[in-house]
Amino acid sequence: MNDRFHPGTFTAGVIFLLLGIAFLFEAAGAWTFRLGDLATLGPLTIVGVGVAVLVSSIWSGRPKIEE
Amino acid sequence: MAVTQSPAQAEDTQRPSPARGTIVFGAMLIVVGMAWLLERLDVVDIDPSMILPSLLAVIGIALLIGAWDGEHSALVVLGVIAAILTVIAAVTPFGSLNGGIGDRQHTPRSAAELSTEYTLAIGQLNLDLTELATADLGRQHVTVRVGAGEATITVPPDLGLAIDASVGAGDVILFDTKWSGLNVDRSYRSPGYGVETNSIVLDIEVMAGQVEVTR
Repeated sequence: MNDRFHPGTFTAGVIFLLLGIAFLFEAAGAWTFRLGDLATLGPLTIVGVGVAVLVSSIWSGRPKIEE
Repeated sequence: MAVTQSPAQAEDTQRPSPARGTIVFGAMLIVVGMAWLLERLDVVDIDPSMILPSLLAVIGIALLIGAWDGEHSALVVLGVIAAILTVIAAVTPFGSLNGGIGDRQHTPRSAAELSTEYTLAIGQLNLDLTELATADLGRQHVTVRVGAGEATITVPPDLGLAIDASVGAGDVILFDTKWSGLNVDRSYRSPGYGVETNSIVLDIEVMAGQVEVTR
């Protein structure tokens, strides 16, 4: 791992990739997302942001290895 | 021994290397754009509803790779916008935004006048089937779609009926019985449905609002 690695960006990438794949399946008809499901998406978004914040804070607090 | 650099070489070493995430994002945008173009030219068949999720996944991949080069705030903001648009597009299927805005009244009197699909984006759609000549109707399939508003269908008493009604958020009223809430799906089959030669299958979808079927 280099010091330029940005965990927040990485976590956002994971979330966007998973969302993109999930909605690709939705567009293909594998499952249906409807207006009422927004009520579920709200808490899930908070969980996602929480994971991103947690990963960022844990990563930024890790001990630095001196070369 | 001192190594001297020409001005052009010095400029090259000073120029920051482009971020990997940006390169990947650019390359993937070209791929998505080419795919879209080929779809428009009828070379390949791509469902338009897959474009936004694909773009979101592309941004995700670009961020995964770009994270090793540091922060990519602009791509993250773009990802958030793409995610919001993807969700909006998913809850508003293309079909539910057709048909314009306002009130619509349809009163078909024969099988020839009966359309297979009635759509309205926003407003009230009334479909009155009570004047429909049911003698030689056969089995008809009618889809009613409203984006936001009300779909009211009045059916004749002596007709075989199969109703599948769904509302993303709102009410479904089938013959005086009402259900409310989110993602309300209700079905109804008339007692003689399947036996009668003349019948109608009603597929009613309202994104937000109310479905009402009365006799």
